[in-house]
Amino acid sequence: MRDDDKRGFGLAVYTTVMTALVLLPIVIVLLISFTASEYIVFPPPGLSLEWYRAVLSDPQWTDSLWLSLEIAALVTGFSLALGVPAALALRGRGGVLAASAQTLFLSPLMVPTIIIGFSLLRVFSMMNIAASALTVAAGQTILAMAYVMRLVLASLAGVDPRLENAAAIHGSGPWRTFWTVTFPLIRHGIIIGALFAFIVSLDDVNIALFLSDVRTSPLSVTLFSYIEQNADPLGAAVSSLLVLIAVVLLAIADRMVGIGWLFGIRDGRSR
Amino acid sequence: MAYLQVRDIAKRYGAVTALAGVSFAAEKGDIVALLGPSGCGKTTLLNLIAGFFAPDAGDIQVAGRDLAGVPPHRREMAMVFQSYALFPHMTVADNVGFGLASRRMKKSERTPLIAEALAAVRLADYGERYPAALSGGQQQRVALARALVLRPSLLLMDEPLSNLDTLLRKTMREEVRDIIKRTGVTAILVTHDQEEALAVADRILLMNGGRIEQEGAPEEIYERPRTVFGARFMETTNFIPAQAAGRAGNALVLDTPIGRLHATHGEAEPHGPLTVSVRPERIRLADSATSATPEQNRVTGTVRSSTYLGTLYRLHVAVGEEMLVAHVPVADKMREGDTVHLTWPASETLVLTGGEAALPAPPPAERVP
Amino acid sequence: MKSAGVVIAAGGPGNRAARYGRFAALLGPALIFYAVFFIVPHVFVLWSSLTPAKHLTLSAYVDFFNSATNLATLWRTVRLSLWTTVGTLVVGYPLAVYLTQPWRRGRTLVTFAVIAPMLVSAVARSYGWIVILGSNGLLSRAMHILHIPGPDHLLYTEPGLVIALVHVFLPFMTLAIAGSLQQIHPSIPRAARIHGASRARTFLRVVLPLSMPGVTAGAAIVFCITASSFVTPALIGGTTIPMMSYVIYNDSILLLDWPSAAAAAIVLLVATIGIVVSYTLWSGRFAVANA
Repeated sequence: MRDDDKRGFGLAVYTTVMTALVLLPIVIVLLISFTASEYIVFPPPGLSLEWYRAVLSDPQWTDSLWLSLEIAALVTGFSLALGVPAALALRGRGGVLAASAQTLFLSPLMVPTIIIGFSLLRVFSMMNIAASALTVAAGQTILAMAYVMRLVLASLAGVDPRLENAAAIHGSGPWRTFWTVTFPLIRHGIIIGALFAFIVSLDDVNIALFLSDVRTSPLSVTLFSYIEQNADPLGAAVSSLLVLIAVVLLAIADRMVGIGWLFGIRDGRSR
Repeated sequence: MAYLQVRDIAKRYGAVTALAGVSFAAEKGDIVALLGPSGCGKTTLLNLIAGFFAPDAGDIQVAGRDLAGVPPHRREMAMVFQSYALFPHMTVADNVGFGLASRRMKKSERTPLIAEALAAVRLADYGERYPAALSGGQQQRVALARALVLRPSLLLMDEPLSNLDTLLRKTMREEVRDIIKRTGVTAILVTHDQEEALAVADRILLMNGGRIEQEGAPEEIYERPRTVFGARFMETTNFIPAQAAGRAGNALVLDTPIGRLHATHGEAEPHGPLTVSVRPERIRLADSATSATPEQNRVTGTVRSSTYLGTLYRLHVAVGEEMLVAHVPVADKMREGDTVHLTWPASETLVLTGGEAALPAPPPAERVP
Repeated sequence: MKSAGVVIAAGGPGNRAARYGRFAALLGPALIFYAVFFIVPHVFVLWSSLTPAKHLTLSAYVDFFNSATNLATLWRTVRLSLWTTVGTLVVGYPLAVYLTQPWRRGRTLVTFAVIAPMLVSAVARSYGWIVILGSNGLLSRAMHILHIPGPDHLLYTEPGLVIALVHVFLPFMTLAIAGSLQQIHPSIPRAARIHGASRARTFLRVVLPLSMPGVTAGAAIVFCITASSFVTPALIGGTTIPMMSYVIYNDSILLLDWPSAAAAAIVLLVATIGIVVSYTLWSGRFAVANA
């Protein structure tokens, strides 16, 4: 006999099927990237690393990849440097001003990202600012910072202000209180925020499409244009590289803080 | 057969044994308290009776009906939860009427019952409010009304008063008992607060480490704990290790580090290490003329500290290597270093099985699954 | 629950001026960055949509709404976004339930599967869908083997695009609902059970209503990001079934017609925000005073 709230075999079956379906497109891309065929055929008739060799020996792709990583690092740095202090300022504050500021910072999650790219392009071209890694990073930071703010605000909400008051009453100044009390408690939010900022930048097409040119086109944009024009397994190999980078970053973040935190899903038998 | 019959219930969570074969019974109309520290298994036992969890072994019967495999909603019970678990998206009236609606009672029939239940908990005018707009004590009474309106076969209460402040908790104890007794429902109360168990329950099951340590009426549990754990939990102080040394009349003779003591109750011939205990308020000051008898124990010691507690003094008295605590009337003011003679009747001397070393380690943090 | 106190420490024990100074120092840089790179450009887009000539005029909007193609695209964008929202809700709710039941097996794997699409580039995922939905792709072959009649491919069709969009935006819905389910203390459904509610009734009357904030938030975000999505519609829908984002891209980058692109952007912005705000207000009518 099972405990009352531990039933639901149907849900387990459903979840298994859905999990498989959700992973399917990604698995297919990974499999096709190893194909020995000239064309997209599934299942692959034979396996080879030919397409990876083709990507990694072509400077168009490798330059694009390095540029992407450079931009993503810039975006991560910018969005943490701007977003964490802003979240600290807005934390637990009522009032119209703070509420509007918070809405403003989170609004890029709702505003069409393609308009962020388009509108910035208008401004940059008016001011004769040429496309570069920095123009792309500026646009993507708007979006990435919204994720950082959301995650950091969420982890700040879980910090009991009495802890910091206790630190203050026992003689700790604001700076010391932040580093000894607040920061350790919101580490999760900051690290996952950094992960999201990096990946948002790496995967973004909508903003970068407008803010880059042929010489400064990051990997996702190059790949997008390539897939639009060509149907061969090379696209799968580049896609798989993007997947690989995301998995590595996710594993690092999981090592550091435990990715389950993101969903508020606690380990073990909570409550 | 008793109204509620729990037999040999066992439950494990992985490697942790939450309940190791617990049996008890309750008569119709009784309020039974499951009393014990965190992690003693009392909440698990309540959840098993409710049917939220299934026991690994044993069975539960209410009014002769075996509840194995019966889902919670078909057990016709009701429950007051620790945090009340009021439905935040429903009005007070809808909360109270929830169980009736679950039983497919028509709205026209529900309404008077809801009104009656709310009146019984003195919340007649609060039906349209939402739980968040009520004080803790009011929420507690809504939870009680939601449960009692069902005339449940069994009312389960999980630490129902623990979220209230101390003052309110004390008045609510009497009120809760009063309301339950008026409806005549059989109730199980889970609590870690011994005063709450004493004030509300007809019978108390003292639990420890997944077992029942002692069972009895409140007076019995309080006055006559049988084990060191029970005595500790009932806030007895003064524990002295002892060895049985025969009998004198109907009194048990005990050798202790503070001399020979007599006790006139407890098991006939206890074996193994024993502990003698006496409550501070039973100890009196004696003058030097009296001497020990089989009816009256007597020791001499030195006052180490004296604390004024308003109605009495709490004395710490060193007797040999042991320290006794005695509560004495303010008239008998003592100073540190004074020599005093302490005396208490053999009938108030508790003989507990288990030595001081048999005390359980502090319980682990409660595992609420 | 409300936090029990106000942070003195972060504000410091200093005087008012010092605290405002610290507040401004923390918030200022981010505000300036947003003003320069977010607000000003949006205002500028609005301005340029109103000034195709040297003076203020609504002609760009008139042109937009006079084009049957544009209206069809706008309507398609709204329709497909609604279908995607409903799709993610139906698929994602049970997954969210599973994720919030601590005793379930393989929760780590499911958690990973639910977020994986969020972290994998939309381009890469759309590539996978091209293989599945394309002619002689996996889906049409499977349908052929199972003798299910249907088109020989779903690529460049609306149902195919909705399937891919549901996959792309599923994590946002699932996580929003899971967040809200997580807030429900386990004793609340238990209270329903012990007072006579069946599992179905417990779900419908207690769990579902209490998870509505998550559903609302998830629906709002999925609708918005679908309506403004570009990569997946471009690769799966192509130019045969364009969405609004494609119009903006096409008018600006390919046709260099800035006022038209700006007008299309403002129409998309107003349409998504308008629909989301009215939906949120409408669903707010059912919210309760359980703050």
